[in-house]
Amino acid sequence: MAEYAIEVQNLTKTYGRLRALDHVSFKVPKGQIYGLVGKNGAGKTTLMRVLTNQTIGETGEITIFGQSTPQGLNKMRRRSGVMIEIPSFYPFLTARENLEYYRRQRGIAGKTCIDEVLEQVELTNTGNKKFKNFSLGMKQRLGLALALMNHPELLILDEPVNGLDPEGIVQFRNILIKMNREHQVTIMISSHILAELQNLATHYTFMDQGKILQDISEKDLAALSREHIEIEVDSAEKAAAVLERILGCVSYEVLPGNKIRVYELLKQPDMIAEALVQNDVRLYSMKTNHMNLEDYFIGLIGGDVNA
Amino acid sequence: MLNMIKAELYKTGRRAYPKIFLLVVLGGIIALNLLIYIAYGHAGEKVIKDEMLMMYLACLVAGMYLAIITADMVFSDEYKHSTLKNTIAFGYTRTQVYFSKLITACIVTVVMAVAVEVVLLASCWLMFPSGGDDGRMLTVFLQYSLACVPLWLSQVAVAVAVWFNIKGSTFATVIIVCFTAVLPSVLSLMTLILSQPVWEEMAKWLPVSQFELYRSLFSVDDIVTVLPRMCGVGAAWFAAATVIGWACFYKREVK
Repeated sequence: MAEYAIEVQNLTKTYGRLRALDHVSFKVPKGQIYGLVGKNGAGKTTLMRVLTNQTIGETGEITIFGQSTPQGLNKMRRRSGVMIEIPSFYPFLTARENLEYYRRQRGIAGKTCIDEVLEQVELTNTGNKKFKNFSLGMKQRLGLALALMNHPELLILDEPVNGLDPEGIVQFRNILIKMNREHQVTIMISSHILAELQNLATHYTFMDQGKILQDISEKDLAALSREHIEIEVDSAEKAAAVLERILGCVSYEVLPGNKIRVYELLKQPDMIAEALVQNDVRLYSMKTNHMNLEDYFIGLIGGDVNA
Repeated sequence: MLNMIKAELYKTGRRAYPKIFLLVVLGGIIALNLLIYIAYGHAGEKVIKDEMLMMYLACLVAGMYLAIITADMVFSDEYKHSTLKNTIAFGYTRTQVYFSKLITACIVTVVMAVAVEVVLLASCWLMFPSGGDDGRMLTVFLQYSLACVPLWLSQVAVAVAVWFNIKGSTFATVIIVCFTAVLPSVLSLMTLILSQPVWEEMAKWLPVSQFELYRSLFSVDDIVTVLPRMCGVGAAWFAAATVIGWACFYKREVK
């Protein structure tokens, strides 16, 4: 049985002179929530479009649930639910009619699945309202309903919370967490709302200019972005000795350039400064750092997330 | 692919547009019958029958344009609404998508054509009671109208091929109409300008040009060649448009 829901090897896609995907390789472990983080134009949507066969990559290999042949991939895609870009439906049909169309198309037996997903996304009361008259939030909910309708084992979601109000975002998050925890659904999700992604994802992949910058688990990211006091001294060795012997501090990390990250005594930076100065350690700078996902990402690529 | 066709038929059936369109067309035929009867009622039975026959034959060539509309009922601005991506993302191939739309469009066209033909034939039956020359005219009309079906379906295939491969629906529709209405005239003009009969010969093999053969229908010898020719030309254009349309769509990006 495949260990990974998705494996991508050396994937490339070019539009004219623009390399939208540049030898991208990564693996999405089964049962995880995989966050795709990147600026506008980083290649996240193109990547998802290639995974769902809307766009055909030039080189590289894709494997979904262990299948890599075209027939195998299409078979596995039927075990997936997808929402990429703005949800698209027939404007002249209602929510129920649109879902009924796709239920018939996908050969899903029984109409109860439509009632179930509409209830999950809170769209049961749209009545005869045609899709063309839906608000953006309603469209997003219907898109999610379609993605969930065939009880997928894999969800590929591109900016799924766009247009949702705060309550909707929370509901959406709870649906995904429930699906992941109770049904081990693997989820690949991209979002500009990094704070929201941080509440959800168990793994992150950072992309920029069509390349994968880093793959990291949520645990490792949390370890890297722990709150700490960063000091710059004249001698890291002397400072470390002061921290251990005078302050009894054991949780610290020595960095290049005579810098030390101290993970204890976060509320007493004055105590650290005083101890260092009294023991002839020159203190050049001291600052408190706490990185969230956004800070980490900006640190990785530099610049504005929404550039 | 059967599921896809069922879904397409469901979607087409839910729209008011096909039903309204059919009612308008049938109403138009009945209204034309009445108008001709009113206009020529004083001229005697033979004149009415001749005018009716000309009108029915003209209705059949209008089927080439009506086929564009029936194909549109199924394809329905897929690129404008970006709905193709939902089907492709679920794992259906571009081949399955293309042929399910084409087959559904053909089914809808044939259903509409049957409804229109029933009304036309009923009109014919009222105007041309069976027996003698009238009975023969009814038979000729029936055979001719059946031979038109492959030509109408060829138009559906051309329309589907163009819509799948040209994103702007207005521009695509203009191309389809130009192929039907303008191309024969352009080819005839090329014959006049370049004095090369090959262009005229090409024009004669276009689907819409086959409708001009109705003048030969009243010769027993000619009818034996006309009807098979209409069917053959229709089938050939259907096959060619389908192969070209599918081949162009096969690797197309779906957005």
